[in-house]
Amino acid sequence: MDIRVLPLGAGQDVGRSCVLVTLAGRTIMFDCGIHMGYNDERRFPDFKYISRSGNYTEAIDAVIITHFHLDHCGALAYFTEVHGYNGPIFMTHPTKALIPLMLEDFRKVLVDRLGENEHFNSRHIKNCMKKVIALDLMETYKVDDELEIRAYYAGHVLGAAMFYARVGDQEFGPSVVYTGDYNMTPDRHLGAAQIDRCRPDLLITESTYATTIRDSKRARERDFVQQVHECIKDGGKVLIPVFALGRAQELAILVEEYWERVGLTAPIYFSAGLTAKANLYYKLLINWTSAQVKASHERGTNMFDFRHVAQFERAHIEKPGPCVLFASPGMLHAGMSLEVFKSWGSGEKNMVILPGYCVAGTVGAKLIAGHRGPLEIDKRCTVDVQCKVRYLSFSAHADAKGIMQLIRQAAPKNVLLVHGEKAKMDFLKAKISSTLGIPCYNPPNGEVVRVAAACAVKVHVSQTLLQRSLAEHASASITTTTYLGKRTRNPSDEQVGEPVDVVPVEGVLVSGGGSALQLKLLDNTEVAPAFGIVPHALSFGCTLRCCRSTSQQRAQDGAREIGKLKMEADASAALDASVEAVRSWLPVEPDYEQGVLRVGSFEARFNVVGSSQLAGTGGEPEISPVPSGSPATCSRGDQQDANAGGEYIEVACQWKADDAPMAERAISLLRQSISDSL
Amino acid sequence: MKLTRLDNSSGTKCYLVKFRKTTFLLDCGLSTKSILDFCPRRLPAAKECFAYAEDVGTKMTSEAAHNQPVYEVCALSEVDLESVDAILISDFTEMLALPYITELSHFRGNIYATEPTVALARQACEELLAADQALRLETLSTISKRKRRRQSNPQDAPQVASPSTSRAIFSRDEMLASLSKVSGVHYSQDVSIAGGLLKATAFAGGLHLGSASWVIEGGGRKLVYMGSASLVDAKCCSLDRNPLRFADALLLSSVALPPPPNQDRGTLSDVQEALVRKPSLSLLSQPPTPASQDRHSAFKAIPNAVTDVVRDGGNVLLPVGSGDLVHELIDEIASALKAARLEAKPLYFVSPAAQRSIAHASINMEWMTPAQRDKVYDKASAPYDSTALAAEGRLRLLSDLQQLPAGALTDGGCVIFTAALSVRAGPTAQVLRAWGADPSSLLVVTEPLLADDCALLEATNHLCGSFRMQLLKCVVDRRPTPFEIMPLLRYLKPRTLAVPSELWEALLAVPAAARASLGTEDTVAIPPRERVSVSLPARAVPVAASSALALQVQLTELPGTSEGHRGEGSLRVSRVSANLSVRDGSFALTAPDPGATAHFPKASRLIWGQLTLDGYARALKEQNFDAVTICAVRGEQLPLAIRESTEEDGALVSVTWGHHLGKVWMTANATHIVSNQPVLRFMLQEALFTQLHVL
Ligand SMILES: [Zn+2]
Repeated sequence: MDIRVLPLGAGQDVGRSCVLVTLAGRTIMFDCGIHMGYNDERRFPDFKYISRSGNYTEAIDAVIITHFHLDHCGALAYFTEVHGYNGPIFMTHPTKALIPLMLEDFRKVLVDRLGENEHFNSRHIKNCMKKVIALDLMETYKVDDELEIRAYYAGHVLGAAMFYARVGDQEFGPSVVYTGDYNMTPDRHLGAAQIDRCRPDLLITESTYATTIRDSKRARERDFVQQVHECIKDGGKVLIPVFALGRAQELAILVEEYWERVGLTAPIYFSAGLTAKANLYYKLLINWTSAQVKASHERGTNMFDFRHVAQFERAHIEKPGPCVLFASPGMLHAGMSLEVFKSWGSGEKNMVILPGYCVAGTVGAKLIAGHRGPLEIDKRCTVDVQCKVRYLSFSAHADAKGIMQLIRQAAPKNVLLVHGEKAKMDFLKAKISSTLGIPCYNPPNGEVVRVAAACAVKVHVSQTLLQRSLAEHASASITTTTYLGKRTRNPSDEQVGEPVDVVPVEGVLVSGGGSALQLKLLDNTEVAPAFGIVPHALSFGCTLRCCRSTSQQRAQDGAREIGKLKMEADASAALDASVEAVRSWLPVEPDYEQGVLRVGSFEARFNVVGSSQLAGTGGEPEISPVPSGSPATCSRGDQQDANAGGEYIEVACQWKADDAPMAERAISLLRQSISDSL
Repeated sequence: MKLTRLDNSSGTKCYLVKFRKTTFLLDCGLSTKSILDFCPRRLPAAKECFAYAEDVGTKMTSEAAHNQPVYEVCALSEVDLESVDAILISDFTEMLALPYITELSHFRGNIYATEPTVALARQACEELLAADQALRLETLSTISKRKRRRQSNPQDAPQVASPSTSRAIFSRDEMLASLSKVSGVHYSQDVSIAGGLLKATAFAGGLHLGSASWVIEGGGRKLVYMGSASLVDAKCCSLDRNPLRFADALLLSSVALPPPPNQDRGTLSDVQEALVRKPSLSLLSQPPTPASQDRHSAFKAIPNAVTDVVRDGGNVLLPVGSGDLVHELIDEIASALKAARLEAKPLYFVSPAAQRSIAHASINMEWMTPAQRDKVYDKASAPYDSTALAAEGRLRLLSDLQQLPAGALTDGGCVIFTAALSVRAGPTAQVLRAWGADPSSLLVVTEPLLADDCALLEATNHLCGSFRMQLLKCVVDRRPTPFEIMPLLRYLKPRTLAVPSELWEALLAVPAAARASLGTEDTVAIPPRERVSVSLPARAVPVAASSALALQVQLTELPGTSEGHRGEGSLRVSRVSANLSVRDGSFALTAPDPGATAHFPKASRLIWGQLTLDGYARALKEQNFDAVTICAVRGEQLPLAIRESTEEDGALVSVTWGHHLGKVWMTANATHIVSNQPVLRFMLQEALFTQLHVL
């Protein structure tokens, strides 16, 4: 049973995240984003790979959106309303609340400012959002009888989630985790990504910072506010291009705190519209922020009530004097941030702080690359870049260390990298394979990867069999004893999750009986009652007779009485030896008392028979009703001796069919050892 | 499964469950009913009331009235709390005894409750602590100095070993420490108990914000605990029914019981009865109606009554507490006032938890109905209007009455929400003292406990006419009635239904027609403080078998069973040897190592079928045995091995093979083969197998 992965976007690339995963007949589309670096059809994921018929609702069972960034959700309304996907869409509550803002803003930038054709309109966005099913973190949601999904906290932005999906029951069906973007270190307003040891067959992870190990966040934060402060002191203007949601709020919290502490009065602006409304949502979605923000909210202060922040208006662009402006979008590719940059970019005192990732080809990326002097922004506008440019890697993605940490936490069987540059991916891929020993893939867009998923068969094991097997093989191991009720309390973390014990089981597998294919593993004793069978009991019996050699017997002819005594001493030594022989072979301690040896259903009664006793009781041991006078085998094959009324040891044995192999072996051991010692 | 009921009142809940070697508690409620045993001095006309109550012989006059307030916890002292693996909480009202467990015992397990449940419990605790403090202040002055010193001694703090279930209140620090130990969960989030032996999942209960029904699964069996169910459409998520279906055992404790005919506060009730008939008291009491939905719509009468009173310049006091009901009421009342153009009239929420309550109510749309969520999604506005009202300043949040603006109590048209624990102490009593004599003012009572307490006010009125406020009793109990629970139970189809005994009696009182065919196999009524056993079927455990093992299995048709198995097609079977690995309480089957041979070989075979002597003799002859003789044998002459399994008469078949002898005793269902020659034994067995089915 393979898992089939097909990246429609973000394969060896950053932007237009869209990964199609097929598990046991269910197809899930993870994310449906756009690429910021393109203006043509490459902006959208390559939907034609999904199905030739174009009936996407039929081809896809669920669309899952990890967070509200446009490179993860930008093509959603286009996919559902223009391409006609009509199936369920899943995302977290905050993502559902915030995506319409992002899509609407994106649409406006494209249409109003860039004059492009609109791919989707406002009504499309509304209709699309009606199909969305919002999920809570850790909630196990059953999409249908088989497909189950669950969201894990991802940090990164408000409401960002990693998604686990599985078809079939836990431990049976193939499973996958798709991380979307995530952050393994907490920031000002969000906690760190968290996942449990869910052991997916495949982990699809972003790899934006596949080769970076970042320094402490605190140092970067200090650096950031100090740079802002210095620029303000010199009377400059600070432009911080940000995504309207997420980074803007985090940096605003930082700047607010600093302004409060240092007592600065220079105005802080948020570009109009989006950010203001975004703050309203942030205030209502406190449950999805970090523990500190939640705690201060409980005390009555909402961190997203910014006191120093004012609404930015276009007139402020040319207003003299220092100020700080948070403006979207973050990559300076369009919209208000680009408009302001056109005006401020040539001022030497001014500063542009780029706190996030910029896609190649955007103005932001060119600035990060160190561009100075004239920069052609579009046909009509060229900016002579003289302002200071700072790039602070504030982007809330996991770095290489974080990615490795997440892989260790989730313990997947395979890893697939998306959302990163190919060269960096290759480096991380090698590292994952070598240090973690996990197969790793990084396909380009449009290339199918098949990953073998361990497919398990569900077997219903009866309690009787389970309990018996565990009891028979109970060892000192913790888990087994846990199951049997002799557990130690609070096992430490290392013990949890490690395979602890293996015991053999022997049972009868039964299938059929009705339409539902159900496999049952029953204990042997349960089979007959389960099917109305009266079992036929089968048992065996035999009698061993071991005599002395003829020469020994003859030597003793003259002194029968003494011989008898000697015989008894010999016999008892022989018995002990034979019991010892059986005992040393058996893994369990046999029961031996009063001349009877018992192991399981096997039973051997020892009897020393002298000639004087022949006429008495010795001839017919009750348990083995061999008729008198029947030929009994002698160990030496010397039948006449026995019949002639010599002295011998008789061992009457009986056993049930279940123990036949053991019984046959025990009998031959007994015969061997007795005759050896006589 | 063993189920012990630790509570002894219908007011709180606490069950101890032993299931699959695991011990856990379901809820740990604290009864605040005992507060009503106190009669503080400064109540309006308390002196007269006190004397009257003494006359009618209520508990109020007992020594409790002179003592510190105590609270009734469940019989936790009878439990070895150290052995408890987990506590599952169904509702914020059912976890107030938690500090006694986590802070004052050796309990080391995990506690699970939904996130809003923890937050609401925190608010309820703040109010309880404040009410306790107020009661102490009211009573302290009556206690001698010596006694007081003894009581303020920390040694007098609640004792773990005390056999009594009455405890003094925990400290605020203990409460905070205790609640910080609760793991907040989401609906449909699986948590594992005792290292994975059990899996517990909370589903929406519908009673309050965050109310949960718990589904506990392990070993293929399913236990459901419905501790806080409601069928009423409120603003919190409504009851999630489907996950609760087909339980092996359903423990149901969320049912609204009709008030018992003889309450333990019987004498006060009598007073109340008399007062209801007294025409001078304008009692707007709603007659009790059977359906919770009706009771819920009766609740809609509150905004109208409040508007009428405010319009006429009267004041309104609503002691409702900080749960989610207060927000529903604030929303309804504010919009009713607005509709009546009375939005300028101030609303006050006076509670130590007011700030917290409003802050919390604005951020929990995940736990509410789709309509509430859409308010957030579409308009970026909080699910309750109370958030906006507080932000606009129309709703003022005060931690105590001292912060009330001067004149607010006397200007008229003022609406005050307070904590709901007692009308005898704290802000509620203070407001009552101010308004009690004003017949244009209104007291709205929604809490069942307070409804009881109001009898005191009525007694006051009866005695000295000093309490003239209008009283609207509209007890909000959204739990389903016994009548309403029946169709739900029919839908849920539990195998065994376990209910508290008083609830069982209420269910029996439901007309037989409604009770018909519940579909449960068994019902267990649990008397207070009693332990019952609930037998659960031994279920097969689903185990993952590796594909390698699956490939080794060769299924063969099981002969002679298809017709016997209700014609469901033939059964196919195979013997399987496998390795069972055990991890976190769950199992996996893998193929045995090819090299490893069992150290202790077994040849377990299932042998069955119809045996005929003729057939066996024929089979023997085909194998060229020299002489085959058959003779009949009486039962008692058969060898012991056969007599173990049957008493029937049988037959003895004797054969010779060369000079070796073999004998086979057989009955219809047992065969004993005797020969000293191993090969001969084998041949006799093989001949038998030609006549029988062997697996
Ligand atoms: Zn992102």
